[in-house]
Amino acid sequence: MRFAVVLPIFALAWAVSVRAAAPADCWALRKHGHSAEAKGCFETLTHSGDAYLRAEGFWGLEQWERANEQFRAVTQPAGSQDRYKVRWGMLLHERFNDNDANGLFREALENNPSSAEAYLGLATVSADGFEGQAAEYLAKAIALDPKLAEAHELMADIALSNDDTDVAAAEADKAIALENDALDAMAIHGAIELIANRSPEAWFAKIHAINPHYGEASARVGRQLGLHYRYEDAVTYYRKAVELEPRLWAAHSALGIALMRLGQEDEPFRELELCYDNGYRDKATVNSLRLLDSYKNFETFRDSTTILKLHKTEAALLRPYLQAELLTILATYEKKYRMKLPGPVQVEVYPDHEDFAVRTTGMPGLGAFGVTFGQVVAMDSPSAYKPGGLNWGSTLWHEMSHVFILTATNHRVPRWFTEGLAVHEEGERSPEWRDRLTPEILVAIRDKKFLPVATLDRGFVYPQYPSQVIVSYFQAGSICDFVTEKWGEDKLLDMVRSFAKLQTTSQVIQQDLGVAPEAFDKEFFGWIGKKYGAEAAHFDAWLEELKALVVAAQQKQYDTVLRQGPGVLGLYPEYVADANVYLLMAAAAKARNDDNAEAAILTEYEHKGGQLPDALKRLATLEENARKPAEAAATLERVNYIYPVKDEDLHRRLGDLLYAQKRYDPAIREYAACVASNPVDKAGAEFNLAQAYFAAGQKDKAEETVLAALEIAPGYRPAQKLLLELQRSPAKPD
Amino acid sequence: MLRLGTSQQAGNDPAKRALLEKKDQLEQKIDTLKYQKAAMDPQDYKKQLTEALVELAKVQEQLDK
Repeated sequence: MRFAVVLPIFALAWAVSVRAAAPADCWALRKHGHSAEAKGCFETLTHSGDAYLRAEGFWGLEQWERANEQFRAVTQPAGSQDRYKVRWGMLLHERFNDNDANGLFREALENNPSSAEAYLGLATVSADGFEGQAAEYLAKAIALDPKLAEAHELMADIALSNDDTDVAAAEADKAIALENDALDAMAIHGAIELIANRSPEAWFAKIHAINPHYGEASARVGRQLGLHYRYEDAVTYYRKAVELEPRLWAAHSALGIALMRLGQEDEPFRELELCYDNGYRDKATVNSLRLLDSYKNFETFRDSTTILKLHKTEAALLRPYLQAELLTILATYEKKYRMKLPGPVQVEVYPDHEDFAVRTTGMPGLGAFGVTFGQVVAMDSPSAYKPGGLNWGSTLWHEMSHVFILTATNHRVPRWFTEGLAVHEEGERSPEWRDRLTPEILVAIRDKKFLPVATLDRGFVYPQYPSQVIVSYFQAGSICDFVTEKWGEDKLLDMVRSFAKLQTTSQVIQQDLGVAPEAFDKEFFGWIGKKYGAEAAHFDAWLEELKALVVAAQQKQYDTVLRQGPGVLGLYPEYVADANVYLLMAAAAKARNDDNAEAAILTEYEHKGGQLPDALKRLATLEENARKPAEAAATLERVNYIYPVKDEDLHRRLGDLLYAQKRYDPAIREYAACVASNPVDKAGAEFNLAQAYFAAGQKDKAEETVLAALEIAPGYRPAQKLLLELQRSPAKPD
Repeated sequence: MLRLGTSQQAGNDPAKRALLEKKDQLEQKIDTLKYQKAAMDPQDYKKQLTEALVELAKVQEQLDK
């Protein structure tokens, strides 16, 4: 509709001057870069006696409110044309109101179920949110109007986002065949070339021959590059976009956000502020500006290999854990991937999930805990979740794997492989961190919904069913597990190198593993079937039996729970989420005062990756009572990876256990964490820390800390005694 | 009938009475220092506080004997 008329532009300008302008003509002038003529054309529309034409005119002149008023007026009468609602919806979408836009598209479809444009509108909004229905809506739009070039352009864009290059090219070609000025389709071709490491210039030459100032094409390419991990290249194309079209605020905003992904702050602020000041205030722009402003509340810690950005409220507590883990990860991956990173890696940790969500704006994969942009990692803090909702340790190992693999492949790696390897690395770090076999995944295995490896990338960006993204993560991780088991871990490194040489998944599977992709799939599906086939087949039975067990637990039929629990557990032992058998049985054992049984089932829960801090802390208590201090400390150390925040008791208990085991360095870490948790008894916490320093032979720090305790409570006898002991003990030799 | 507390017993001993007075003075000094902390040079504050706390610990040790 918007670009329906394609005339030679001189003819169009003449036509517009001698007859009443039509909106499509005005938009075509704009699209072809004839700004002054387009402006005149839109102005003419604003003087029309037809409210719809006025709406289009004000829209073209960027007088959004007036356009909105006119659309409201023209759609008021019963029986007004459905296309007015579609156009109004498109205006609202352009002005960041997708809810109302969707409502208008749906109303249009109620009036006219054959409105291809309304389906295109729904697809446009869905595509922005990486919703799988976008392709379905487009298919309907194309079925209703096969000549709707914009629908083919969007289909091409979605296909390329999904790494379906063949379909992307074919759909772009269809759009160009329908309209020889399908500039966005040409941009998709340009993006395809760049992603394949070829020159896009031929396509840009075609675009610029039609409109030398068409920035949208470069912006579209930038977006695709960003979706394909090419973050620096994305910046290059957003820069081209704003250079060509300085008033293309969406591109300025995208440039600002892309620069933030590279760890910058000043230039992004300038770009985003420019958008804001010019009335471009979509959620991404406003939230990114807000986030940049909130950076004053963060502290940055730098060393030669890491930059850690932590919120001031939790920096003292989290820094030691994160920094130590980061150094371990760097050492492990440097050895494993046989490479060093070219510069320090920046890790940002957000206690407010909304702040983290801003960092993932415009990215697929909602619900993620972390995101990696080359050398920059952004992740949620454990304090952003309820206890047990996040394991920051496994998240960090996952994201850091991306940092190495993106670097190793120069950002040319298929999504399935880098995600799969990252999931695999979590399990390598600890079997308890292995990717969860959730019910959705089990159902997908049962229903044979895994994708062939050659097309696995398509399960990550625009999912075809609600849980497809997590299923694809699991499948990709399992493929890397399978490769390791069958061919050895070095094969994964060979695959990294092959992807770096721009080989496709099919080529890599064939060359590095020596099997055709189809044969690989067959073997892999067989391996998965052997591992989980029985569980998948019994899924419904497990669900029914679990429900019955929950009812028994609610009715305090503890003997029934303890008797029937093991059978239910055997059907699906990996299930550790809500209402899991482990915790039902543990509660029953506790009610029966059977400490041994309770400890045994909680230990199983722990080893299966159960993450509820209260359950693990209860296990630690049982282990302490059973005189197993090393096990108790190990259990509490697991909790540290899950919820080290807002829990001074955890750190004090763990500090005491470690101190008693003469493990002074980790005891110092825990007592320091207790101090950083703002405990009620701060003097006591400082004293514990001082004692640990003293025991570890760190006299200066011991003195400093015991003085901190005494500053709070000058008459605190044990601290006074330690102070005198420190004063009288011989100086530590240098 | 009253049973005297240790500090009251110490108060009857002239040597300990002096120690108690010193303890009071040191505690007052520490309170004053803490009150003035924001306005003081951090190094100077630390030095004076450390001296006072060490002294107080020693006095307490004497009292506990």
